[in-house]
Amino acid sequence: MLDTFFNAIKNLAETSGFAAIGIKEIIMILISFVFMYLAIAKKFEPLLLLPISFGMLLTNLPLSGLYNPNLFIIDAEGHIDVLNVLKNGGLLDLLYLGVKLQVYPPLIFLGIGTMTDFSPLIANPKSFLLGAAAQAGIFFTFIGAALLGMSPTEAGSIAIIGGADGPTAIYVSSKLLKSTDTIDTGTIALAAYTYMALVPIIQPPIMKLLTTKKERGVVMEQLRTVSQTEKIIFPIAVTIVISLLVPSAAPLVGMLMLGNLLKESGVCNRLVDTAQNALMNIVTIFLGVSVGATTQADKILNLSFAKVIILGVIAFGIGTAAGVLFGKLMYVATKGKVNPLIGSAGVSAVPMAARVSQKVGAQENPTNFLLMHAMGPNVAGVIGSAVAAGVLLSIIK
Amino acid sequence: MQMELSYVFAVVITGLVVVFLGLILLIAFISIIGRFFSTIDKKKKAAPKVPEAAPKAAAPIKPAAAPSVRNTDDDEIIAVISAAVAMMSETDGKAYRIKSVKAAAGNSSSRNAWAAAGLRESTNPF
Repeated sequence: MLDTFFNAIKNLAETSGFAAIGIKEIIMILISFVFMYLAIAKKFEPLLLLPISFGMLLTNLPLSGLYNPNLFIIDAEGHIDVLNVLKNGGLLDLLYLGVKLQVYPPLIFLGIGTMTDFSPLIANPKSFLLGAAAQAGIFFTFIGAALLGMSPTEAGSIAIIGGADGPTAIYVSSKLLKSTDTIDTGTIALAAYTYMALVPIIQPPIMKLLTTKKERGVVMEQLRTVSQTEKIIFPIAVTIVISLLVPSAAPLVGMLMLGNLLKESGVCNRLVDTAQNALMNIVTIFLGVSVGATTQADKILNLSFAKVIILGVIAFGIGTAAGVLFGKLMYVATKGKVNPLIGSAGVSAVPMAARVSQKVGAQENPTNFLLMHAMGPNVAGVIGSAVAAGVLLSIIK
Repeated sequence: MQMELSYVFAVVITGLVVVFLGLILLIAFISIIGRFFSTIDKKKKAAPKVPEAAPKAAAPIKPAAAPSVRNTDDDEIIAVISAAVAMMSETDGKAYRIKSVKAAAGNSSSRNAWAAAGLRESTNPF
C-alpha cells in the first residue's frame, strides 16, 4: 500500500508543472509580474495590460495547455485550420481565434466609435493633415526595421506600433505575421500598450525641442459649433471615402464609424450603451488574455523582442516629431494661427496625446486651452492609422 | 528574409501618399459639407428678420454681454466685488479692505475671467 502511495506521489510530481518548468519560463513569469506591477501600481493602460500580463503568466506555466501555438500554423493559402483549433484547442486557443480571425479589434473600434466626439475635427477639417503627418512614424520605422534585417511582415507589424493604436496594431500584426516570424502579436501588443502608457513621458521633450517659446504660446481661435446633421453625415462620409480608397481599412474604419453613427444619431441609445460598456469590456478581456498568451518564452526571449522595443519607441518618437513639424508648417502657412503643439496629438493614443498637448501648452500660457484643438488631430490620427494599417496590409505580402 | 531597398522605399512612399490622399479627400468633403451647412444656417438666421418686430424684444439683452459694461457700469462691478469680499469676511471672521480694483495685466486670452476659471476647472483633471 505504501508503495502505491509513493508511486502515485512520484507520478504526480513528474507530471506536475514543477518538473517541466525551465529557466526561460521562470524568466517569462517574472516579466509578467513586472507588467502586472506596471498595470496595477503605475496604472499603465491597466484595462489591457493586466489581462495581457495575466495571459502571459498562464501561457508560460508549463503543461497547462491553455494556448498551443502549433495549432495556428498558417497553411499555403494563408489560412489557419480553424476546425483543428476547435477540436484540440485549449481555452485561450479558442479565445485567440478572435484575434487571429481579426474579430476583436474591429469590435473594440465599434466601442471606441461610440465614445468619440468628432466635432473638433469637423469644425477644423485641416486637423486631418496633422493626423496624417503623425503616421510618418509608421513608415519611417518600416525603413528602420528593414535595415535591421527583419522580414517585410515583421517590419510592418513593428512599424504599426507608431500608430499608437492598440487594436490597429493587433489587427495588422495578427494578419501579417507568419509562423516563421520570430515575433508574435503578443510582443507587438505589449510594446504598443506600454508605449501608449508612456506617451506623457515620451512626447513632451520632443515637442519642446522642436518648437519655440512663441509657437507654444499661440492661442487658437475658438472652434465653431457643429450641427447634428454634420455629425451624422461625417461617419457615413468617412466610411465611404476611406473604404473605397483603402478597402483593407474598411473593417476598422467601418466599425469605428458605425459606433459613432449610433451615438450621433441619438436614436440607438441601447446599442450605444452595449457597444461602449458590455461588449467592449467582454472583448477587451478576451483580447487581452489571449494576446498575452502568445508571449511564450521562445517568442520573447530573443533578439527580435529587443528590436521591437527599440523600434517601437523610435516609431513613437518619429510620429510625434512629424506631427509637430507639420504643425510648425501650418503655423507658418496660417501666419501664426495654429499652435504646433497640437500636431503631436496626431499619433492617435486618444485622449492621452491630446492631454499632453494641452499640458505642454498650459506650461507656456496657463490660460491657453489646446485640449479641444488637439482632439481634432487626435481623432484624425485614429482614422489615419487605420488607413495606414490598410495600406500596410494591402502592399505587404 | 532581407528586403530590397527599392521595395522598402516603395512601401514608405505609397503609404505616406495614400494616407495623405485619403485624409485630404476627407478634408475636401467635410469642408464642402461644412460650408453647405453654414450657408443654410445663415439663411435660417437671416430669414426671421423679415417678418416684423418679433426679434426686437430679444435685442436689448445683447449689450449686457458686451465689454462696454466695464466702462459705464464700473461702480456696479465694484459693488459686486465688495459684496463678495464682505461675504468672505463674514465666513472667516477677518476684516478685509478693498484698496483698489485693477484689470489683470498680461491676460492674452480673449476669455473673461469666469470663463477661464470654468475652463480651468473642467480641464484640470487632464
